[in-house]
Amino acid sequence: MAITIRDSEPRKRNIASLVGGVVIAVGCFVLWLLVASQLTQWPPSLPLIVSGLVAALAIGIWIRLADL
Amino acid sequence: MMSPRQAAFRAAYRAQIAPAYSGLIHVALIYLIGGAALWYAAQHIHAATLAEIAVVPIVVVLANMFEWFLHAKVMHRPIPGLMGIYNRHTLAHHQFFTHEAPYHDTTRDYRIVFFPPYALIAFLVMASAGGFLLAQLWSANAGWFVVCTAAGMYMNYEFFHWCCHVHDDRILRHLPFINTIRRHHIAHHNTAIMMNRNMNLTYPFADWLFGTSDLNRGLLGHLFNGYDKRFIRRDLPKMRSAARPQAAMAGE
Repeated sequence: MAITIRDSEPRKRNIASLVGGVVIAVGCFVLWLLVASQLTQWPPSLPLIVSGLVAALAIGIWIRLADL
Repeated sequence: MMSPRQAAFRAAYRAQIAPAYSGLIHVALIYLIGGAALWYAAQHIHAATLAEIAVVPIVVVLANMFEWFLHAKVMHRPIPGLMGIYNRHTLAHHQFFTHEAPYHDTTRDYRIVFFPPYALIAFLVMASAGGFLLAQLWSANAGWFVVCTAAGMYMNYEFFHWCCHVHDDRILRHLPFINTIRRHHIAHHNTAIMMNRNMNLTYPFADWLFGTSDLNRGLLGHLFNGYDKRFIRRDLPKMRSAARPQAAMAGE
């Protein structure tokens, strides 16, 4: 089996982490809305929606920065 | 004993991990998302009948076969369009962890132990589609059970796989199922058999069913084998150096 050791050039982020970041952000936001609506009411209040948006964006950005 | 080749790969891989990466955040995300999905689905189950509850073991078996299929036919096969998965698993995970040195050292190594969190999102979307279909055809409770069980199985998968790559087994070696999958998976990391043996990561049911286990015994024996090496098949390809995955597990 061929060995695939990456060289030590400056790292470049993979496109997968960009797509993954978007997918995770959307998924987390939807899940946040569902959980919030289950705990309170549908639709959740504006502060809950905004905080969900912030959390989802933060997670998506972290996925990209962490190149995960 | 770690080979110089494996040590070099580990050093190169770790150098490529982004500074912003945190293994603990990675794991927390997986279990927060999976836990939230499971909790949300469970909230919708009311007065379930026995037939509806029977969906749980059925989904457990189907998830076990899906796990086997994904591992055997996608993660270990260079399929055009899915090469990223093959590269990440066969070419990276299997060089980072061998049967002779199968343990991670720090939480930054979680980068190559756990799936990226978006894999969980994809799995939940698939399970939700299946659950929705079942709800339309038969029962809403059954549909929610599908989502609950799928989320639970995913978290089960990640936990068991982590257990396989933890160094300290003073407790794990005594836990049923976990000790079984730990031996099973570490043996899978031998390059001589990794392409076609021991593809399960939770319970070796599908490996027993499809004849891809390195053991020669029945279903119950497979599930509760633990570290027992008496039933290892004698017709396996020769292992490259140490033919004793258990030796590595015991820290010998």
